[in-house]
Amino acid sequence: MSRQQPPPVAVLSAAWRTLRRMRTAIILLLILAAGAAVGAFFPQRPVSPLTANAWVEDHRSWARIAEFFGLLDVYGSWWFMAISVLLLVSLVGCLLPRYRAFFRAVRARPRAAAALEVQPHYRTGEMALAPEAALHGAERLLRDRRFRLAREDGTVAAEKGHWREGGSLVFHTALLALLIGMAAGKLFGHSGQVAVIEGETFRDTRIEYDSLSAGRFFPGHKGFGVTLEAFDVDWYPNGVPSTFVARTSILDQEGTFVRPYDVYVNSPLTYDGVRLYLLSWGWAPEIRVRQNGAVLYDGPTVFLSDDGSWRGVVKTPGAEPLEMGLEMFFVPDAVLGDDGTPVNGGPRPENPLVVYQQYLGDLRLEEPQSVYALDPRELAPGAVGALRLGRTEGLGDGIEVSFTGLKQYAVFHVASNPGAPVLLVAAILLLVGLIPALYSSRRRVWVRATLHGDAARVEIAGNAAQRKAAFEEEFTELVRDLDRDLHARMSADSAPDGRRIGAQIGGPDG
Amino acid sequence: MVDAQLAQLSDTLFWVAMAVYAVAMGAFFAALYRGARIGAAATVIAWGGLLVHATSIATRALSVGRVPWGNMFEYSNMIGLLLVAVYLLVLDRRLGLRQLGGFAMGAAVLALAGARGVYAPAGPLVPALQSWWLRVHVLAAIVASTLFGLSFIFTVLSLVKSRIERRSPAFTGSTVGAAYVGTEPEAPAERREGLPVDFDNEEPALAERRAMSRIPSAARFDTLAFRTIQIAFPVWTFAVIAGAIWAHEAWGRYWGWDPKETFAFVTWVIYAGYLHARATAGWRGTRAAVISVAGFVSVLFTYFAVNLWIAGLHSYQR
Repeated sequence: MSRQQPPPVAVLSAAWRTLRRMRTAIILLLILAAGAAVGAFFPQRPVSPLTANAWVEDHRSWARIAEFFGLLDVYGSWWFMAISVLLLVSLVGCLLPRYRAFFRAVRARPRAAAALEVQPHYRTGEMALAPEAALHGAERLLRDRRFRLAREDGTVAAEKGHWREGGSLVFHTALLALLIGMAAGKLFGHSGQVAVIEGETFRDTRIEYDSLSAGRFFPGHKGFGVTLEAFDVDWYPNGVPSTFVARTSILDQEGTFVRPYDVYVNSPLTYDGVRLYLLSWGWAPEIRVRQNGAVLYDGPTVFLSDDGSWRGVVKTPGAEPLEMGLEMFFVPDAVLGDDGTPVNGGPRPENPLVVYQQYLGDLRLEEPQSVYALDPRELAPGAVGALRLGRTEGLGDGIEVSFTGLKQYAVFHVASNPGAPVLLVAAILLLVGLIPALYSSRRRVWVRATLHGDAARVEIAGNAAQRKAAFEEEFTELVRDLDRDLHARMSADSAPDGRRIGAQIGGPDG
Repeated sequence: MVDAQLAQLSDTLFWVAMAVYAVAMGAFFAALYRGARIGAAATVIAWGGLLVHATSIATRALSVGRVPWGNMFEYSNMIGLLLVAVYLLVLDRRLGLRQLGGFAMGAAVLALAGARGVYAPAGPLVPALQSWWLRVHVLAAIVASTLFGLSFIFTVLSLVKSRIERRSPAFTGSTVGAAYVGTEPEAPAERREGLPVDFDNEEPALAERRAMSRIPSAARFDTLAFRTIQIAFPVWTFAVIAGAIWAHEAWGRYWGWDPKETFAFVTWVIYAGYLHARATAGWRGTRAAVISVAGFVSVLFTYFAVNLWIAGLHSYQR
């Protein structure tokens, strides 16, 4: 038939046949595993861009090869996509015919076997019963054991274990649903980060995020507000934090108070389909800068954690005659060390201290720059000092800097993921399908009764596609129960000399 | 917060349990050469070790007032406990495979030694780890890892036995795969292939062969490995799902391809490949066994390498 096909079609149909082979699926799975593993050995740009860039710096010559093969973004690389798509096609290619076959098999009546004695399990015996009564007893027994039954020409055909194939189909379909859920989350969802200082309100609008990535079909921000009323940290005696809690108030689109909510690390706030996770926290000392009585800067300032110390920056372009920047360290519990320099005594704000370094010159604010760092190129160092809480110091030129208060800030991860419910359902189906797919087995049993003189010759045969050892036991039990039931019936019919089925073994077994 | 006395007791009992397991291991291996009575004694010793070990873990849980699987030490420790428990309750009592005691005890001793290598003193959990999902997630990972470990032992033994069987004069073909031409592999329902009479004064080579002959057939091990993975795979699947749900609750994303997640996925895919291989003609037997070994290497990698080695590379800690 392939001879009649034009070459491209022949190639395609050959590829399609190959893809649908189990062998191909196994090899693709192993390649996928190997490919995914590669990603663990290289810093991944989407996960940690800074580490990835540093790696490129350190491995100049290798970097180009690594970049070409997408080793720094394995899970977005062309080859990883290619393997995944091939697996997906292979999966769908296998599933469709299996679905058809499955529904046909489930709808069909159990089929009779022509020869029972060739089945792997076979027993026969004679009983002083009408064949009809024997078959009726067998039917009742098999129905109790939840076999599906069909009667044909003096034979009961029974089968069980469609859930094996059904479960497998559910499992593999759930995998597809999982992929759909992931794609939905990527396309319709968004995620971003924002630092909120105690007392301030974050509004879910594009400009208020510190960083944001939204899917192609993201329907838009909801515009509700979250006020961080207070941030509390509890500590173990050894200085390790025991709980973080961000006490917030939720405000609706009009800014009306809706309800309070305490955000914990493992307990996000959910409002209007958007979730707000507590990611990290930090100190925000309130700094005020005045020059000759005029306020140049006043407010809580976010200090970032940097290997145990806290660093922050204040920029005052309004200072005269030169622009001024302050680079500051915050020490929550400053104790004076032996050499007179402040040392951090612990994480709790027992003796808060702000150490500052003044810079004078041009801040170069006309260029985009981080709010957490100074551009040092046209700045010269000035005064150095330290401020206890509530203190003010003069820096010359009438400039005064004060440490007026201490607040904390919380960093929230804000995200919406419309795919999440799909993912959850898919994950549940994955497990639900897996159990029968792995533990159930397809098995068939036939019982035939024929008139043999004035007795019934009863034959029982069985065959299991999987789990043969377990079926052997099941079959033995079945024979025993059938024997007992039919004998009970036989004595009810008060017929003599019935021979037990199990006693007379014929045919191969086991 | 931490009851120091209980924690101290727990640590002492840990060492006792490890020593008892080592003794039991020696006795089990001796029983392969010397017979049933030593095997029975080894079983009693192993039960004693299990009791001490369980007490050690229980006292640690009490000393910190939380579930005893919050760090790497406790994780490996739990695996050791489960290995011994599964051996004694399932392999020995239900399947009559007492001969495998030496291997099971050896694995437990390794798990405990590994645990000691990453020892952490009893202490509370940081906020990110205080979650119900975490408890479930980690417990499932522990159970699955234990079972994968056992399946690895079975697979290796099946490969070893298969070589021996092929070398033996009565060989008519490897029993790995041979039993299931066209059908699913299934061990004959042989039970209690126990330890028969004592043999003294044997030639070493003969004793060796006799010891190996007391170990079940390659086909039996192959089936055991398959069954174990069949149980472990859904548990691992659940562990990964629970981990994703936990990540969704704690970090706002269910999957981020960090090294831990990546290798959990790699492990899952390899064992999925194994299960498919078992259902495919030409892939049962040795090829499937190789995939199973690769799967366990990936389990070890997920656990040790990602935590200890890649963590250093990637500023990722757990």
